[in-house]
Amino acid sequence: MAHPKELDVFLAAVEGRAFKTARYATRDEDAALDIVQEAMIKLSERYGDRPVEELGPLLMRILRNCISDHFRRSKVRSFWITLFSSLSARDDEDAADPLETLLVQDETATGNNPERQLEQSQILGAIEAELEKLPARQREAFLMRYWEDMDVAETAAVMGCSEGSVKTHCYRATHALSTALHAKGIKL
Amino acid sequence: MKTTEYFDHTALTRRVRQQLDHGAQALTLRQQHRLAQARKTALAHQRQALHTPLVLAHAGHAQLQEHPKVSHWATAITCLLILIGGLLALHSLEQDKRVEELADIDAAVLTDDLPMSAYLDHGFKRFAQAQNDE
Repeated sequence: MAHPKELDVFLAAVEGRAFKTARYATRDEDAALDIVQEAMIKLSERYGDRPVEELGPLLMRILRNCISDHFRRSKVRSFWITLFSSLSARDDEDAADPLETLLVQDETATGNNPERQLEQSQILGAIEAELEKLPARQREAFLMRYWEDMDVAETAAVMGCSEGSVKTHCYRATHALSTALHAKGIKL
Repeated sequence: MKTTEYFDHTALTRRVRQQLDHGAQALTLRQQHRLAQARKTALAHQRQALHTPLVLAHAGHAQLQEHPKVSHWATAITCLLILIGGLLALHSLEQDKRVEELADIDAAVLTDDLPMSAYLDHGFKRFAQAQNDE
């Protein structure tokens, strides 16, 4: 059973990746944060008694379901938003606080070199943009296999498809990323 | 050629992974704050989920409440059994009713002067019913 402290450590370790995964899928920061919160709560409620080693794939499965639910709900919501959009007024008070979007720099990775930091953020931006462009299932397979370090069988179980499909999705995703990044002049 | 492709593929995924790891760590303050809050809420839910069965156990319902899934199954199976029981009872009643009707017809045929073909005539059936009603 995962002790609350162990669960806390586990969630702290994966929350960034979970957030980014949700954001690549939704392209919406707030929605991604909500999705991660929902997934974390479901994981804790339903599987809080499981050993920590089992939580990774479970969180990915829940996260995936939460993302699907988000898209289902947005379909209904967008209908009403379109209907009433002409009535809504723009509220400037909701403008983002620049301090809130201040990036917490990881100086250990880039040193204190602004050029290096800029280059790295550009590469990361390009990779993230290309990941967002990938078909959903290719992106899911790629992230689970190469970022979450899940094996083919685990990925297939979470995605509800065959292991062969996972390999195909991964191959296509890698190929598409490689081609797109190469076209942008980025060599990894 | 295949070998080179394999190594390129591996190198690419490794470098992408490094970049993504870096991106996942470089979150804004707002994002970090929201995620920390989400984590706290999730942990509170875990505590609730773990403590609820204990509280209910003291109330004398430990057997069912310790495993919510078991209790769900038990409820579903009970409902199914009730449904099947109801259907069987209904079937039995219908059978009895049908046997009684057949027995009535047999008795009428045996005790009456009328030929059997009269009972197969729909018009006569209606006439007989009207006679009975009167």
